[in-house]
Amino acid sequence: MKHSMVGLVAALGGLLAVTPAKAHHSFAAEYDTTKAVTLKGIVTKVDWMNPHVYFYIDVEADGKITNWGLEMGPPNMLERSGWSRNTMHIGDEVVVEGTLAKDGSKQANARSVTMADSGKKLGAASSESSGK
Amino acid sequence: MRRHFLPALVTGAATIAMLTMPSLAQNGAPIPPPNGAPAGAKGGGRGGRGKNAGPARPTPHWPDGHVNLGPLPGEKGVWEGGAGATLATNINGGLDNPARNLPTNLKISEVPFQPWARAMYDFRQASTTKDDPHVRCKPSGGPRMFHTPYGFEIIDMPEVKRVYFAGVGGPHTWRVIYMDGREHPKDWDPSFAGHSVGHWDGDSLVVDSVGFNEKFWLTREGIPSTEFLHLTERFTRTDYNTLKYEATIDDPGAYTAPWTGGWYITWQPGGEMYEYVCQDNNRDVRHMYGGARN
Amino acid sequence: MAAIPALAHHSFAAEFDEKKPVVLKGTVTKYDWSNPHVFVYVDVTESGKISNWATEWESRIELKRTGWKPDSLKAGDAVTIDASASRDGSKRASGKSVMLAGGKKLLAPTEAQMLMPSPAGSAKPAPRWPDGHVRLGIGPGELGYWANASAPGLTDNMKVKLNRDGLLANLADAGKAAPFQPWAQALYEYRQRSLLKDDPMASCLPPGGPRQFQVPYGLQILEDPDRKRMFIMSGGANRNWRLVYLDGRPLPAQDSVSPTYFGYSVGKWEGDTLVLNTSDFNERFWFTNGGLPHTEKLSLVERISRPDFNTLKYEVTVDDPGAYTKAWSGGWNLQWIPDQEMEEYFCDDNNQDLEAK
Repeated sequence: MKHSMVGLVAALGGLLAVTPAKAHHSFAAEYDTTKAVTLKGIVTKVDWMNPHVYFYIDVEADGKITNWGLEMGPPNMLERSGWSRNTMHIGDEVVVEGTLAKDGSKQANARSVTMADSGKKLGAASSESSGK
Repeated sequence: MRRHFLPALVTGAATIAMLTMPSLAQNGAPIPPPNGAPAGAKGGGRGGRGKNAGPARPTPHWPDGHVNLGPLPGEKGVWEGGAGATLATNINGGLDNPARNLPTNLKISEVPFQPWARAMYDFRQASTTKDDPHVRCKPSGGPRMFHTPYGFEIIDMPEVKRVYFAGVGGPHTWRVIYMDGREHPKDWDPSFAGHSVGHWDGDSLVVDSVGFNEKFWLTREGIPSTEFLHLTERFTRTDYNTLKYEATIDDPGAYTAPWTGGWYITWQPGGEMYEYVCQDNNRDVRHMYGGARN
Repeated sequence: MAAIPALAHHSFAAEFDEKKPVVLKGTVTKYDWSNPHVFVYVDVTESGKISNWATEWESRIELKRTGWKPDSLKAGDAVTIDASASRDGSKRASGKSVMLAGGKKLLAPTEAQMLMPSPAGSAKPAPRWPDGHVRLGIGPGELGYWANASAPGLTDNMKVKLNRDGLLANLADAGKAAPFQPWAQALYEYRQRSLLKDDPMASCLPPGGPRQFQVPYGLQILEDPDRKRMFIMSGGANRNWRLVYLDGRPLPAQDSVSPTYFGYSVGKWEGDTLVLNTSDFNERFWFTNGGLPHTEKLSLVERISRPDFNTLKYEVTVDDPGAYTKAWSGGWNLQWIPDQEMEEYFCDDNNQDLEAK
């Protein structure tokens, strides 16, 4: 069962001007604030670095595996939200809520990450301005 | 905050599964960040991250009477910067932050741009600031440090007659303000930070800077400047938790008259600065859709 | 003496071949007066075809010492440039001299000219704070900063001969540079053999550890005794600040903080020597200019003192059980550069060595 979001996205596009409050750059230049996404996958890599922590997950759909790149905030901000660099490991299953990259690539800006085994949900210190 | 949750499909499929609307007021204008800044010119100030401890403490002073722009002795803290603030208000561009911006800020239509400068600003906005040098880890002069996230400190060294600014985010660099009454040098190689001299005016630090190059954007939204910029910045600690930042842009290369804008900066009690290195794993350049490579 | 830009922010030898001179006669199209390199672009006509060459020079800070000015050249000037060709055959060369019409000549600086001007004459004693401890930064009415490291690079007991890029004079000496574990020696030799081409500083990554006390353009020490801390502010690299805590706090528990380029530093005074303990480094930089490897297990003890007004003595003990078989030490002096400020320099200004990641 599929839900087509295309018409709804088009209708709402005009209303969604959001000030990227926490970014060191324009969020809107990289990510499409009209396109939210939820991804479930297995962690393949974690780059615990500035200016953003990036992690990568293998997502399976229709028997095919695609690797996605997710952006979070910088390490220090994540530490304040309960993360350490050892929180997420290669092989962990996670559910990520985020915002799609503008250029159509398999990238997104993460707003939250839920660890499948513990159920623990952590904010991603995202630079998008939907509050902390 | 109103949310519309449409029927969601959460499987392994990498497709759009859930649509969340950002917070909008009834009239469609963006609502300021919920963790809010001090309200208006009264400088009400909040008690700190997650706390609302009643009225703010008064502006601290040193024994000799001049204002203390850091923490009281024995305490710690960092200025949080005005992330999300803008020098001028651009409602149509979604660039407004009434919780942070000074109530005296101009609308963008009132800023005395020269036509080329207005066109430059419009281009930067229309292209979603994809060419922003700051994203490429370049430093910026003037206001940018004060609305870059992750905080900054003002380090007052009266015995050597200098004030230093040190910032965490962006280029993670420092800036020196000479307080010894010297003049700007005659031969000065244009630089990112320019040459800054300052003095105290009551509870305000007033900084006068010239000698800027043209390789940065004054603010994140793309306000332009030229080598003719003569920048006056005023830092006023209105109460313990609030720093009022006002920048007067006197740039006959880009504007037809001087103009002023600014925002409120909040104190983060107990905070300490930390390391942030933009060049570490900077993927923003290639993510900036359509932006220049470096 | 050949004007090899030995104090470049990256290895000259990795990019250019001083044994391949090239003469470019043509017209200036652009004069980029910036850091980390000034560039002069020239249109050169060969066999009727015009091609544009990029000649790379030292930073504008260094070129000013040999008489270059922001307006020394402009588009349209007829010039003859002596340069060293690039190793990859591209139309890029490292400039040695420019001859303008009318006979005026502009030269790349010699190695001696690359150093900051420093005082001659007898040294005064080190200045002190009212409480008696030595002042490491400027005092009231003073102006100056620290630069001109007296050694080309850090190695075990400073035994091995290096050039100012940190390249071994003799690759066979590699094993003597430090008490390596075998993997670390192999990596060091690779970095040396490949002429330091992978140096992270060429991508404007910061010089953590002892390297901060060695890079060109100096450093300033900002003491903040009221808040029991100290800033070490770089004049070169990325003009970053490093924060050292002097409030008696311990180093963080293992793995409790994210590793960083400058590490987590705590310190205290032992008589007239400031002793710093630093750990929690990441592995994404080179802590010496010659590419000595390190791991996250690296910890440093740095001893900083000021034996006289003009001298900053820097000693460091390297303890990295992940890369070396035992702790080892080295050190050098920095000179006081009086009567001037560190000029603004940012590696990221017009860095053309940076690959857009």
